[in-house]
Parts: sequence; C-alpha cells; structure tokens
Amino acid sequence: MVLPTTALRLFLLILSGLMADGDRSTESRDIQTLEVFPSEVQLSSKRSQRQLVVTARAADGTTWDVTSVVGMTLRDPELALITGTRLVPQANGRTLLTVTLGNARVEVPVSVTGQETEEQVSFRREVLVALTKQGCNAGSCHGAPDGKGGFALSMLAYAPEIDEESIIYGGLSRRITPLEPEDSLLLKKPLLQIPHVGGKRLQKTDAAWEILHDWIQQGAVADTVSAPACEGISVYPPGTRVLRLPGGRQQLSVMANFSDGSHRDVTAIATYATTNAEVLKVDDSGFVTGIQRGMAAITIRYLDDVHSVFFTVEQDREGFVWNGAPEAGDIDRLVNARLQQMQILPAERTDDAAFLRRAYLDLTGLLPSVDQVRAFHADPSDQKRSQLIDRLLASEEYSRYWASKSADLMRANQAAMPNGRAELFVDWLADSIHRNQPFDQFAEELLTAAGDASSTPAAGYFLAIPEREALAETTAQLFMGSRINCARCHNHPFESWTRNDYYSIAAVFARIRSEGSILSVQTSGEVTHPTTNAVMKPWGWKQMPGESADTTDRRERFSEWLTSPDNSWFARVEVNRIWAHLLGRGIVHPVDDFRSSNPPVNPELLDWLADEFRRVGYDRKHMVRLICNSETWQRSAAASEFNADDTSLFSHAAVRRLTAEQLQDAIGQVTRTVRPIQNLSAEIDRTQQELATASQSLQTAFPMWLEGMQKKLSDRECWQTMWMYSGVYAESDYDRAISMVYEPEAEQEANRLFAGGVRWIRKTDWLDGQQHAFPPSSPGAHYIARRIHASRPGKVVLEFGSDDGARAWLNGVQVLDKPQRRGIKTDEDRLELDLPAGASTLMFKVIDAGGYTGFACRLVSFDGVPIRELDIPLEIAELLQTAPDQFTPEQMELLQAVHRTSDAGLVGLTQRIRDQKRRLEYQTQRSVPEQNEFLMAFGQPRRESPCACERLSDSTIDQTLQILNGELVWNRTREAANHYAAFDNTAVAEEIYLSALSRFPTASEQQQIRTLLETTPNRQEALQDVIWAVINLQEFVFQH
Amino acid sequence: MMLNFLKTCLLLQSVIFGSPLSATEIHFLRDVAPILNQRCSGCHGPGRSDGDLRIHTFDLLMKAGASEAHTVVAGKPEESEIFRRITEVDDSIRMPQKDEPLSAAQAEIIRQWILQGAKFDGEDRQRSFRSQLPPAEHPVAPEVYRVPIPIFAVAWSPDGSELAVGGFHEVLIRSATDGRLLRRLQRLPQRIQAMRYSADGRRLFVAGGTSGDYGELTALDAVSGDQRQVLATFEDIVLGLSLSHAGDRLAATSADRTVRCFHVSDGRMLWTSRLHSDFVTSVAFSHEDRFVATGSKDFTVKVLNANDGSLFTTYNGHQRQFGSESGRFDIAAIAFSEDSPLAFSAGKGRSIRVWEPEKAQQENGSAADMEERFSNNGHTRYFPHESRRGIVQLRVSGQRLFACMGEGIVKEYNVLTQTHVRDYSARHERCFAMDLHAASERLAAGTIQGTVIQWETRTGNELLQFPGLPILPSLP
Repeated sequence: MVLPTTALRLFLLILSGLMADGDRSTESRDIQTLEVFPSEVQLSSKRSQRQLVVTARAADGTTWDVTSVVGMTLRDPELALITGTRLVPQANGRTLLTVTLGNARVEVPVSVTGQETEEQVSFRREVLVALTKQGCNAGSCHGAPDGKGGFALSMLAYAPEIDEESIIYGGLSRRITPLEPEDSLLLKKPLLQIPHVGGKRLQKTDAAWEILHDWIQQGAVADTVSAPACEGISVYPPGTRVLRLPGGRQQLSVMANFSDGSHRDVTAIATYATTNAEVLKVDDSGFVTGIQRGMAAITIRYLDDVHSVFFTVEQDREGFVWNGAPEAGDIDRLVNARLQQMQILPAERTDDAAFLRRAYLDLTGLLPSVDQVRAFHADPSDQKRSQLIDRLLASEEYSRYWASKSADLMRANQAAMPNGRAELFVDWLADSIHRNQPFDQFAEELLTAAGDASSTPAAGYFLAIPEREALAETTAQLFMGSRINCARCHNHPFESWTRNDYYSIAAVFARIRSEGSILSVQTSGEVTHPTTNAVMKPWGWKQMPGESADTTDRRERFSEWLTSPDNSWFARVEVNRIWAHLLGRGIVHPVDDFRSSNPPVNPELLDWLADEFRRVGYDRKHMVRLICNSETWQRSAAASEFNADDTSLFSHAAVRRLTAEQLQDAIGQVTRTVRPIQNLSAEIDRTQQELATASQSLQTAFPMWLEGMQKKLSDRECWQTMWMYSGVYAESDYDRAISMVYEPEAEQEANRLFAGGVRWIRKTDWLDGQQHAFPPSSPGAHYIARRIHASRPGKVVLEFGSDDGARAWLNGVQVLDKPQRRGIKTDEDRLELDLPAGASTLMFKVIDAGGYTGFACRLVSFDGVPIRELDIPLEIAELLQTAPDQFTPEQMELLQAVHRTSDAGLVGLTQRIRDQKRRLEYQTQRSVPEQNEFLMAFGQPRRESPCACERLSDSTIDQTLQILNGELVWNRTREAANHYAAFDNTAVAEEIYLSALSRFPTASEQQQIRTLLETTPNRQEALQDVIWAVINLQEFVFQH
Repeated sequence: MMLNFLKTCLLLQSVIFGSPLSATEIHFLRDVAPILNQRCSGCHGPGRSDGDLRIHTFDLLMKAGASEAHTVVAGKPEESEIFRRITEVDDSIRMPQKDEPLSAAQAEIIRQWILQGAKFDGEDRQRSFRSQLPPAEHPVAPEVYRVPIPIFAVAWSPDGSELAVGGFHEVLIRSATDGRLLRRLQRLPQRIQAMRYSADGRRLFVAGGTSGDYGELTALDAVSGDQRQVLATFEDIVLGLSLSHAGDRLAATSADRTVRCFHVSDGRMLWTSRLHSDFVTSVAFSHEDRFVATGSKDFTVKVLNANDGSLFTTYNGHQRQFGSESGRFDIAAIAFSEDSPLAFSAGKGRSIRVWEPEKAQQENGSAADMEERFSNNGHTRYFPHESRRGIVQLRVSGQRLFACMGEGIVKEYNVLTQTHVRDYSARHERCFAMDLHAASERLAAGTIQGTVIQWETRTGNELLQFPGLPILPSLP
C-alpha cells in the first residue's frame, strides 16, 4: 500500500491521526468499498480536467467522503497529472487510475484524447468565470454601475459584451499585453505588482491566474458568436448531504452543460460560498468542511447558474438520549425526526395557562377575557384545547387579525389606498378569511381584480402600487416568496433570477391602467428589456404553453400558472407564512426569501405541509388547525440543556414580544380601557335592528321620492350628464395622434358611442367650468364625451379650452377643428350649438404632444339663459328620464340606493355597523391601525413594503420607556384603578392576573399584593401601582 | 528592468558562491526602489496606506508607520523594521502579507543597502521613486509576433516616402509606396503610443511605455536608430505627442496625468503641468503655437500657454447637460486648425466639438450654461458622428478634418461648410492609429489586427493595404 508522497498529504494524515477516536474518514478498517466519481475519466481536450470524488462505504451502508485522504496513482504517469485531487491531461492514451485507502482499492479507467490540438481559452466560459471567482466584478468593485478606477465590468458578468469591450479594448487596449502576458494590467493589478486599490486579489497559484494568463497569451480574443451557451450546472454529490463531526468533509464536483451537448468540469473555476460560516466552510476548489452541528448550504455559481447543496452537520452531544416525545401527527413526526438527528430534545407540553394565552394571541391577537380564562381552567374535558382552537378559528377576531397580517404587506395604508379604500380592502381580506376562501381562489381574485375599488376592493392592490416593476416585485415577494428586486438592474447575486425573468414578470402587469379609484385592463402595452430592448413575453407563457399573450388579461394566465399544482412556490410559500405566524419563525426564514441558497431547515416538513395544503384545496384554516393541534406548537417555552441553543428547529416555543398592536390591546384589556369584545357583537346586533326598522320606513317613502326627483328634472330646460373618459390612445408622434381615427370616433360613426367597444371611465369629479388634467403620457389622443338634454330645440353656448389641440363633434357632426398645439386657456373656444329636443351627444378629442395635458369645458347658457348646476348625480339624472314602470330591477335597486344614501339617519347607522365590525378600539382588529407613538415604538409597520421585515421585533430603550412611564400606560393604569376598586384585596389580584396573564396568582403573589394594598394609605394609587407592575412583567410583554 | 534582472542574478550568484556582496555598491533608485515599487507600494503607496505607512518617496520611507518602529535604521538592518518584516518566518507578520515572500536576493539587496548607510541617490526625496527611475533598458523585439497586436501609432515621414509603424518594443519603418519593411528600430518602449518626425525628417520622437507602470519619450535618428536621447520618463504610459508648427517644441501627455513640454533642439524640458485629474490622452499646439491644448479622461480640455504651461482656460464642453449633447465624455483626440484659432476635440459622445480658446476664456468657461450660450452664439459647433466606440484620432489640413473612429472608419468633414464629406473604411477592423500626409493627400490608419491601410484623400480611394507588424500568419 503506497501512500501519497506529497508533504501536504502526509501532513493531513498525521493531523487526522491525532484527531479523536471516531474520525471515521481516516479509519480504513470498517471501509468495505471505495466509490470513485466519475467511474470513468475522459479527458478529451487540452484544457479539460476532471475533479475526482471518492466515497467510502462501510458494511452498514454509511458513506463518507475520503477524497482528500486517498492515495492516487496512474499506471502510466505520462498521460496525466494528479493536481490535488484533479486529473489534468498530458498526452493521448489510455491508462488506469488506482485509488487506495487502507486495504480498500479501486481502479478507474482514464482515457486522454485531443492533446494534439491547441484549445483556445474561452472568454465567456473561462475568463469571465475567473473574474467572478476572484471577486473582480462584484457589486462593490468593478461590477459597480460605474466600475472602479475607470474599469467597469458587468456585475457577476451578466453582460459579457460590456466586459468584452472594457477588458479587450478599454483604455486603448491598455489592460492586456499578449506578447508579454505577465506585463498585462489585468494580471499585475490583482497580483498587486503595481498599486491596486482593491488590494491583492490573485495569487499565481490560483486557477484564475492561469486562465487569464493563457487567454492573454493566446491573443486575448473574444469568443466567436457561435460558442455554445451554458445551459446549467450539475453538482456531485447531488441532493442533501450529511457530514458527521469530527472530520466530516466533502469534495464537490461541478459540471457545466452546454447547448451543444458538451460538458466541462468547472470545479476549479466555479465560485463557492457558504450560507453559514459557523457550520460549514468551503475553499476555492469546492472542498467543504463541517465545523459544528447545524445546517447550511454551499452555493455554487458558474456564469448565471446558481446551485446550492444542503448540508447537515451532525455532532454527538454528550449524554444525549432521545426522550421519545409524544407525536400528535405527521408534523410532530417530521419535526422530531430532525430534532433527533441534531440531538436536540423537544420541550414538554406547555400548561393550560400558557396554551390559552398563546392560542388567543396567535389566533385573534387579543388576550382572553377573565371569564374565558376561568371557564377554560374549569373545563375538565381533555378535548378542550382543540375545541378552543376551533372556536377561535370561527371567530370574527381571527379573520380580522389574520387579515391585518396580509394588509401589512399589501400597502393597505391611507396614503396608498385613500378615501376609505384601505378599510374596504382590509374588510375584503377579512371576509375572505372568514368564509375560508381557498387560498388559490383568493390569489386569483386578487391578482385579476379590475374595476372601481370602491365596489371591487381587491383592485386596490394594483392601485396602491402604480409601477409595474414594483408590482412584479411585490407579487413575487408575496406569492413566490422571492425577492427579485436585484434582478431589476443586474442578475441576482445569489440566485438564478435574471433580468429576463424580472421583466417577464413586469410584463404581466403591462396592460393595466389605474385612474383615480378605477383599475382598467387595456389591450395593448408591453414591457421591454432595458438593455436588449426585446419585448418581454409575460411570465406564465413560457411556463404554460398555449394561446397567445394578447387575447386575454395577462394576469389571468399568470394567476393560472401561479396557482397550478406544477408551481412549487405557491403552496410552500403560504404554508411557510402560516407556520411563521404561529411558531415565530419560518421553516424557510425569512418567509419571503425562498432561494436555493436559503434552504428550509426541515425540507421534509415543508414538503409535507405544502402537500397537505394542496390536498385539502388550499384550506387555510385547516392548516392553522393542524399546526395548533400539534405537540410542536403546544410545547413549553422552557428550554433545557439539550435544546437551549436551538433557535430554528422548533424544539421549544419561541418567547416572542407581543406585537405593537397586541400590546396596546392587551394593556387596554387589562386596564379595562377598551370595551370587552363580547359586548361588541351585542351592540352590532342592536344597531342592525335599528337599521332594519329605519330601512322599512324609508322603503314606503320611495315612490314619492322618485316622483319628486323626476319632476325636478323635467322642470329643467337643459342639463347635461357627467363626462365619460376614454383614456389615452398612445401614439409615436403628434401628427399621427391627430390623423388616427380611434375607437370612440369609429363607434360614433357607427352610431353606438356608449354601447360599443370603448371602455369609458365615468368621471364623477370632473365638474363643469373647472380645469381637469389627463394622466400624462407620451403623445396620444384622449376622448371625452357626455350627453346634453334639452326640453326643446335651442341654442346652447359652451366654452372650451385644451392642451394641446382639439376636435369636437355634436351628434356625429364635427363642430370644432383646432388640432394645432396649444396650452390650456379655459375659454379659448366658444361654441354655439343648435340642440334638437331630447338628448344630444357631445364628444371632444384632445390631442397631446407629451407632458401636461387636460381640458376645461363650461356650459354657459341655453337660449341666452344661464344654466344652473344640477344637485343630483348626473348618471341618476340620466336614469330618471325613464318612466317609473320601465325600470329594470338593477336600475330600481340603484335608485333605491341613492334614496337610502340621501337619508342621513340611515347613512349614519350603516357607518356605525361598519365601524363596530372594524372594532375601532382594537388595534389588532382595525382595518388600518392607528399610528401613535406607542405603536411606532414597538415596531408597527407603516405598510409600505411587501417585506415581512417591515415589522420590527427587536427591543429598544424607547419600548422600555413607553412601558415604564409612557403616556398611554400612565393614563390607562390610572383609569384601571377605578375599575378594580370594586374588588376586595384578595379578589383583585386574581382578577388582574387572570386578565393579564391568563393564570391565577400564586399564593405568594396573592400575599404580596394584599400586603401592599393593606399597607398603602391611598388604595387607588396602590391599585394603579399593582396594575403598572403587572404590565411591566416580562410575562406580560412576552408570549410564551 | 532587464538590467535589474541581470543584477539580481549576479547578486544571487554571489550569495550562492559566498563571495562578499559588500564589494558591490547598491544604488537605491536602480536596485532598491524597483523592489519597493513592485512588492510594497501596492499597500504602502500612493493609493493605500495600510498600517499608516507609505514608502513610495524617500522621505516617507524614512518615517515610521503606526507601529512606530523605524522602517529603516541606516547601517543596522536587524533594527530596521522593513528588513525584519520581509525576512520574518511567521506568515502573519511577514511582508508582503498573503503573498510570496521576497526572494533571498531581493532581501539581500535591501540588507546591503541599509548596511551601506541607506543612502539616497535620486533628485528629490519628496517625489515618488517611480518618477525618478532611470530610463528602462528595453529588450529586442520578437522576430515575429505570435499573435496579432494593435497598432497604436503610425506616422508619415515629412517627405511622404516612409511610414513609421509602432510595434512591440520597436518602430517599423515601411516604404509608403508598397509597405516593404525598410528598417526595424529596436529596444524601444513596450507600447509605442505616439510618434512624430522632426520637420527635416531626420529625428523621430517616440512616446509610449508600459501600462500602469512606465512611460518614456525618446528621440532617435530616424534612419539609423542611433543617437538616442531619453527626453523624460513618466510614471505611466505616454499617450499623446505633438510637435509645434514651428518645429521647435514638443509636448507629451501621459496616463500619469502630466503634460510636459520640451525643446526639440537639445531635449531640455521647458515646463510640466499637472492640472488634469485623469489620463491625459491627447495634445495639440494651436495656430501660431500660442497654446498647447490637452484632452483628458477627466472630461476637460486644458488650454495652456505654450511658453510656460500656465493655464489659459478650461473647456468644459464635453461634460455639459445641454440638449442632445448631454453627458460626460472622455476626450481622446484634439487638433487645431493650421490657419485659424479653431480647436477640434472629440472622444466618446456623438459629436466633435469645434471651438476657440479665446472665446472659451471670454465666456467664462466654468459657468454651467457655457455650452448652451456657446451654441446659441455659434461659438461651439458640433460635427455629429455615430461612433459608439468614440473618436480616437483627429487630423486637420486646411478646411479638411479627419476623424478616426474606434470602429475603423475615418470620417472626413469640411470645416467651412460643416458638412460630412466621406468615409474611409478599414473594413470592419477597429483602429487606434491614424496619420495624414497633407502634401501628398494620403491618409494611413493602423488597425488592432496590425494591418496598415492607405487612402488617397483626393478621391477617397483605397491605395494600399499591408501588414504593419511582423505577425506570424495564423494557421488555417
């Protein structure tokens, strides 16, 4: 048995010999076989090489990597060099490689061909990869947007054509000297042979040095256009690996697969990074070493392809014995399997008090009332926990609290969703949760919403995010769990997200347009790639081949893809969010950062949950119920020697600070400064009854009201309806916008202006005589149209002005032709028009050259008599033209609705119910929580970002001060003293403890409080002190 | 460089054979400074000062860094921090960090120099060693070039019979009529970036160097290649060279940001200017030799008084936000009209700027709206071009302006009518070099593949094409 003779190998052997017993990687006695990857080595060109990976297999089937400690000899050493653990070809021929360790031995055939032909170093496949490996094109170095020191590269080589220009030709070809390669700046700078601000970045022993050097020596030429593209990398060993300490290690082998069907070993030039340096390290050659117990991934990058290998590092813990923790179902089974592997003991089941408080806080955001706590403690049933979970899941509070979690991420704030739209939007979210709408249907309804957000609240999602790029980012983060933002400007540094992907997702939203509260879907509009200018195919099309992009709303196709069973993201992302809400941490963490380099801590668990979610038809409540009924969720927060260091595998409950809203509500509940929630539903019932009575009486008055309204209208000689607006018909230049005949003109000719294909937008707020702006755009045409009613033929006078030029038609006959560019002057054009009796149609075309655009129009007089404004909505006025017996049921309903809203009392009652439903006193229940000092201090999000990280959960001095002597706490504890004054000195302790901590006070707590109350002269103040002290308990501020 | 290498070999030999080194006197600039420059100044130099230590000038070398240990103690190598650190065995202390140690021979040179009293043999203790290095010894050029390299400079002899082509460590003199190789003038700087003949055609001025490391301006006999005189060395490669219209002065500009002016008669330096903040790429003498204008990567043109190098004005027209001309553009070429005060400057961007130094000064060239006023008053004119790679050379003759675009197309404009006259195409090969022989109406350009192309400017016809450099033909 000949051992390798290099000093390094000997050193390694000596070193490993000194290691503790049980380092199996160097013990050869229990090795049954050695397995070498690849089983046959083919080196078919001058620049090829092959990484070897040697695995030992014991009799019991366990395997471990021994690549770095085996002996390797070639029968014919002339044919190839053994460089480290790689084979590098030298001469054509066939031979055998013998790999030995102890008594184990295996032979691998080696064939070397193609050594007679020179092989060009590839610029794209080798040089750029080498630069990435050395960090040259990192975002903080030459990959910065303007580069560094006058040398700019594309970040991580996403744009080889940019790199080609600056490396080969930049600065008058300054950086390369093919006739004296070592004199090239490209080498001298990173070698630090001349000053380099970036420091030493290259050693002559690096694989990158040889690549750069040889490429320059060969003339430093770019690849030919036909050079094959990389289509992906494959890594050996595949899948998840377990390393056992001490000594656990793994050599990786990375193959790149090219479009021409060829493969190349790129192990030496790929870039490696660890996701957790405390658990795992990796060197430049892809050699991974375990450091301590835990989980981490190694991320491997080659060009645009990123691949991750998950590792679990096992390490024996002294004295560890599995405790056979009970398992309520698959969740516990999978969680425990992981815990057992990592030698972590799960905690005990928590007690009733902690369970109760946890269940209420997690499911409703609120504390249980004193009565509820007493009842639960008194309940002897062994089903009481699951019964409580069911009750809470059915409650209104659950829906509202969980809706607020989504609302936080969907910009449901007053600025992004003004005029009450935020409240409507959150009501809609809460309703969806309450009726347990399947999550796929919810996503589809949200992502394809269109129309007026005051009647279709889901459309508010799009109105709140006006930019399609931001929509792409938000949607990806919410539903795909991916932060694609980076890919807006460059390919993602840790992931395979490319700019193509990014703009494909943006293209999904290219055809929606928002105007005030209305979201409409257009038939045209594209997104182009900012550098290639290619029109992007919307995301979902490539993934789901079928009909072309332009026939339907693109979002429908996207939603279809999103919710299809083939999309692994959808179910996983949502169950992971649910899990994180309940356990305080996601299986993938953070919850919106799914990527191969951020592996789930328990992949089997996540897979199982996602499968279950799909199996039950995306039933959200079912998943919450399952998790809450698991032993895992019901574990105590008390840590033990064998789980104290676990923060991510769910061995014990995570102690979490109450959220800002939960805390303010909890203080309100303990201090009795907010109404108990049970009383609320009774109030809602009462108000509803009042409303029913009032509606009844109003109903009888409706015919009279209608008659009065019609009379009022028929007394008018002339009146007009509200404006209808077409939106913009974008055009390449002004002249085209003038000459083109767009839909409204065509429909007018076809005599069906308001019945044709034009998607008119009602402009209820465009008042007569005022100036109104159109949304700014590139050149194009805008149409506005309305009807004018006259009781008899007569002459009407109008004043009109626009930016820029305009044309007008009355009943299809052109009455204005001023297409020249101009600024707005409200009375520039004075139109005198002869109206027939009845309804006439007036339409303007306003042509825009770009920049500001808008118009003003005023109906001045009818037959010389000035015209007064109408005090009923114009659309109703239009409707009132119809005889009462001709109304359709829908029209009747509309009129009745107008009637109801004209009654102040009824409006007030309706509003009161809505407010009560929104539980305005409760921050966890409100559609839009208050924004006050207290809430902000505790990390309340402003709802401006789709990132769950916007809610801050860390502790600050400000928080301590707020709780110790903030205004809110002070005022509320003082009021609370009044409430608790009614209890005697024994009962009061119990009342406060049950209310704040969901448990009875201990005898000594009871005693302390009684003593305090008895010995303090001012009982009121003493009571305030007691309440204050309880609020300041860690037990109160945290959930266990 | 070569000398240093030989020296090192000799020293190494003496170490090996045990002969006393003290017999050889160590010269600081020749023997020590190159080692410090190459191995130390990356971290302890002009760009960085790790450990609060910079050792790129002699004064700084004599000061201590943050450790307060004396870098050099004359006569006592063992007490000198520099010697201690380069010979340290512990990798965490040894310099250079994370790099190969200095060779035994290099360490010995430093030891001997300290032992011999750590003397300085340069001119200026406050200027960098790099700027005071003696001229480098250049090797002979390869007989044939393994791979194509770009031609960075071409120059017509005044009589139009010969064309000088910049090669690798050499200038190749070729017959202008058939491209035949007449002579190889060897042992010149690595890259030849610019060349000019003296008015009588007897002297050739050659400028170039090694990127990032060294620059040189040399005068030599254009026929024999003898009678060499190194007019100056630079800290980085020399990029621009211009001969005054009277033929008595020479101006050179370098990537080391300096502009230097010399007497042609004796090679004496007249003045140096250090006003640019980036590579100075190009230079030209104005009409009647009143000004020297220099274009730079710092987006400005400096107009200097030719007599003393003082600043006359700065032309900021390449970095103004003005209509279609907005942006900040490198300047790579500059030229003056022979018979009017007009200046032409160009580089990146989509037009050549045509302007006058006097007006640039009168209009307060630093005002933000200068370019707009200029344009309105007709003080700047714009000759548009569509080059994405930028203009690399400009030449003017009478009313004819020739602009060589990086793509390998020379565009000719009529200055008077401001019209584009015609294109001369180098057949899709990129170009960095171009020169005009006005008297015979011939234009020559060198491509990055080492080819020279000649055109007749009267007709626009291509006259000739030949390999400018001795490049090994590629195998089929």
